Amino acid sequence: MPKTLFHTERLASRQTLLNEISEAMSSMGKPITPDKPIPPLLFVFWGSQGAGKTIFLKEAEKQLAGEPDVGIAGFWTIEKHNFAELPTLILGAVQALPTQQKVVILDNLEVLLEAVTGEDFFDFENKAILPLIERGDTLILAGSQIELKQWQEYDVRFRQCNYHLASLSLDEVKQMLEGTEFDPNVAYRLTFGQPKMLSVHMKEPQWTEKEISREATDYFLKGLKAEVREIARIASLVPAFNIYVLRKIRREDQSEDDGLLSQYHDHVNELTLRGMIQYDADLGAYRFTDDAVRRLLALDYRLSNPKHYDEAQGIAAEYFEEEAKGAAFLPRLIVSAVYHQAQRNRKLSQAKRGDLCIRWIRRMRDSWNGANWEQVLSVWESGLNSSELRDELVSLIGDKTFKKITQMFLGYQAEMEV
Amino acid sequence: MAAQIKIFLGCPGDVTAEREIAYRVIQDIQDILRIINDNYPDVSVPPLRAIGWEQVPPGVGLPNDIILDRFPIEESDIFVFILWKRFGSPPGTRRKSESKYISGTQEEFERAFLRNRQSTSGKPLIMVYQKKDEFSITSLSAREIEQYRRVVKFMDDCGSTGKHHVITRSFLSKDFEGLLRRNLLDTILKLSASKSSDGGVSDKPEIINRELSRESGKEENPAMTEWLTRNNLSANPFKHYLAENEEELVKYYVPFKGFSLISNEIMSSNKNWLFFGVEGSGKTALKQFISSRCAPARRTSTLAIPYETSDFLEALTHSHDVNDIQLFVSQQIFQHALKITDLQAKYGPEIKDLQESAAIFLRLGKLLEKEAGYQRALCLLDLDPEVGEEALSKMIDVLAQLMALPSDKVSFRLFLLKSLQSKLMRQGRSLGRCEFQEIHWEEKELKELIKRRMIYYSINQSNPNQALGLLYESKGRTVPIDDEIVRLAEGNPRAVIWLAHRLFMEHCQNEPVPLKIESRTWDRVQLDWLTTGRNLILGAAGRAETFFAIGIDVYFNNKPLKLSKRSRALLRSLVDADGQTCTKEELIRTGWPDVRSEGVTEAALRESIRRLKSELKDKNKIDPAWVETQHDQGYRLLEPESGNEEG
Repeated sequence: MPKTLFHTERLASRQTLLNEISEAMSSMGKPITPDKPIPPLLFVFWGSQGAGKTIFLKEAEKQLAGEPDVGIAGFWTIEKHNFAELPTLILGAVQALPTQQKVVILDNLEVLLEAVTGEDFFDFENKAILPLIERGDTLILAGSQIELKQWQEYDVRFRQCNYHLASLSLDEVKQMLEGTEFDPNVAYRLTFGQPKMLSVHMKEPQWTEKEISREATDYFLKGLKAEVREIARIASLVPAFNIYVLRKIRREDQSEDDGLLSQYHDHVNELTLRGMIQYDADLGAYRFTDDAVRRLLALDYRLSNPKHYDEAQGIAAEYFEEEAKGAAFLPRLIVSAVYHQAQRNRKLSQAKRGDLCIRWIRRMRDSWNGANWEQVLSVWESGLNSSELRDELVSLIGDKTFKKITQMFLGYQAEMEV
Repeated sequence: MAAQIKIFLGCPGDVTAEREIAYRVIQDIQDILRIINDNYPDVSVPPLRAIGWEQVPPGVGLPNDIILDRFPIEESDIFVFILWKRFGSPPGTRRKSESKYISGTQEEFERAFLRNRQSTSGKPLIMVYQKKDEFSITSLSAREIEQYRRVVKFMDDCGSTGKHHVITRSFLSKDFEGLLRRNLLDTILKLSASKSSDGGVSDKPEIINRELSRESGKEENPAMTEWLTRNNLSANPFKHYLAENEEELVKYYVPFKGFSLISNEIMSSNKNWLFFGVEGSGKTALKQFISSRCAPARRTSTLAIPYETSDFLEALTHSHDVNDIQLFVSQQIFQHALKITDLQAKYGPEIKDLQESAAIFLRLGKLLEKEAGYQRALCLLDLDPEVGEEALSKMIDVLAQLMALPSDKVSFRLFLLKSLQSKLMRQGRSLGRCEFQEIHWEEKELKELIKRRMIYYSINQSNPNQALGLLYESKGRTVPIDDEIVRLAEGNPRAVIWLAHRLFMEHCQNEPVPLKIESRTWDRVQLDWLTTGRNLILGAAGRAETFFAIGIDVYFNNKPLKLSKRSRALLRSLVDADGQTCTKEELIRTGWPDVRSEGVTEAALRESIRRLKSELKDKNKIDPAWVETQHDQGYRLLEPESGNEEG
């Protein structure tokens, strides 16, 4: 039975992130003590295209420039410079600052990874990032389309932190649209808080969800081959997917052709390269890095192919039902299983859908003896550590049913303890 | 040119069908070669000769003794070795009592292997085949299980980090003939081609290939290389499980739990630090890491002076008196430091004037500060336990004295087996300036260790593989492979690497190699681990008595249990509950899956548990007290005694 489960990715809102930066600035130069987390010196803010990374970095720059005794050693957009010369330029700019604390801002760091060997990236790590970290008086803020985990210097890994720039929550949308003529609830319903689509909505306020989701599909899947686009669209129907379930939905699961399997992996790799999806090792499945993007793609699929959408959800529901028959891996499967049970009954009312999910859980209860209910509850309540997925699940089965299921799991946990 | 190409067939009695196939294949190839020789005057391939025990006349003694006398394996060109469940006759049954080999099969292989390594020609070329037809391990007797264990161990030794590293192939019976024909024909043609080109003197195709592949950093097994590339990996990330063999380790080094909080102090404090850990806990890796962080190229204020057990042994041979050894060690450390900092020529000779360890360390500290700007020097040493009890004991005495010297510039970082802790602690008076740290790993760090290696060995650095799960195709079955490996490894990083490596090796035994690892491969790796690997890697630490289950079989102490169907189902439930109580209802559900639970009485369950206990005792010689009754609740298996504490 798995003993550990999903570590919480720090999905913080923009303001919280700005606070994190301020906190790191204030701990800079102070001794590291065992009772506190080690303060990062390199922040990487990553997110898919249109997540608002550059805007966020600009906001951070503005905020930090107002701080006393803090100097900004440039806002460096990586692709605009010669990679070989960049470390010298950056280190020179830092050296020239008279302030006690310094900040370097680097945008589009992922372009250094364009050379397959990673030569440029690791060169930059050695010649720019490592010396800056070793100084101890410089904070590095970086933007990247993909999460950066490939650092090879221990000191860099040790002081680096990846923060995901997710889409905006409803509260953040409200804050953003305060004082405008836009209704934040409508804007959120149409865009799920995805920054790029919010700007589209503000330009084209008359657009319906069909038009916005179509635009989102075109924007996020731009430049991909038709086959990869199709895989991305189908993957968006399954919040936590593996290659097998994609093949099952496309009715290609019986094929023993290794070439076909290879093609699926190539397509999935291409989407990973784009930063659109990511393998979640704790979950043992792929996920979209931004659930708002997934929901937009899924919405477009549902509106343009309702029949296929329902079939796909039926297949996914059967698959997860079968998988969830054992107790051992229930924490990994419970959210997906209930999600697809609800999706399969999408045409029924919310109350009826919720009722069917509860009945399904009761029916399955006997096969879940010995499950780790603490983990099941943790995963259930967090929606696989995704507030967007949790919101979606609540909108499918209703808040009352969601809470009732939580109570049922608590009851099962108590039974086991007795 | 040799008059014949001699092919020696070595195989135990359970693969006679394959043996016959091999003879037939050799005959077929012989026929083909004859046609080629007859029709193509430019081509000349020597005739083949197959050698095996069939050529020994009946009644003249043990076949192996005769055959090896008449046809010395050392003179053969190709050695074909086929295995399945048996490894040959065990000692005392058919072998001569004075033989150092446990079976004729082993003798054949060992002699062929030795010859292959010693000869300049690289012959005999060794081809090892393992039959992978399925069989139920529960159908084997205890002796047969022992035989199978030897096969598993042998195949493990044939791996890239094993003592008999050769290229191996696995096969299913139905595919054997085609596979052997392809491989043999290819080998024979290469042999004859290299003979024709240089007169057959210096050809060593297998060895040359192996060395070349090592040089280029590629996998030695071409099938694995191809598979890794298809999965976006540049090499097998788990090929080495000894830190000494990993040149780039620091680029993907993962420290044990809590290291990051004390890392600065370890690098910059003048105290001595003693790190204790069991075998495979990462002591040498930590030493390498500290060494790289404090290397002169990093221009830090600390200099690392790596000191090896071999240096210490030199000191021991120099003198038996502890004070003399101590002086010799101090001088060696002084010399090492000067060498690292290029000061040897200038200050090396003055060591002759210093006749006390304290004076040597004092002088060293001053020199390093004055000439190279170092604030401190760290002497790093991980003691190799293989040197023997007596030497270890002396080394500990010397180290304790050295660490007690008053020096604010030179301090020690020792990486020691946990079993040495008590010995060292007895030197209490000398350890006032020491910090003790136990190397302890948790699941999170061990998973990170898999991840970092996977990332480092990814071909495309912007799309790094981050988990073994990415290489796994579950066909719908959930198997969280990274978690499973970490769980089995019992907190030992070397075990994690061994398991991951074994998974790769086992997967690449398939022909053709599927794109993704399948769950049955993982089942086989688990079996290997529980029957052989666990004791091999964890040693004494891995010998706790325990029940475990793989597939439908239940094992105790690495041996499959003989149980009736219901007893097995009940025991399986208890094993799955992992020491927790299984309720009566749960046991009834698993013991009587086809019956509604109301239809089974508690008395029936009690009777079945009684039968399970009696089967454990009578058929398997296991104490039935392992199954404990929990009043009014159900039953549970007792927790095994912890065997994870060494020393």
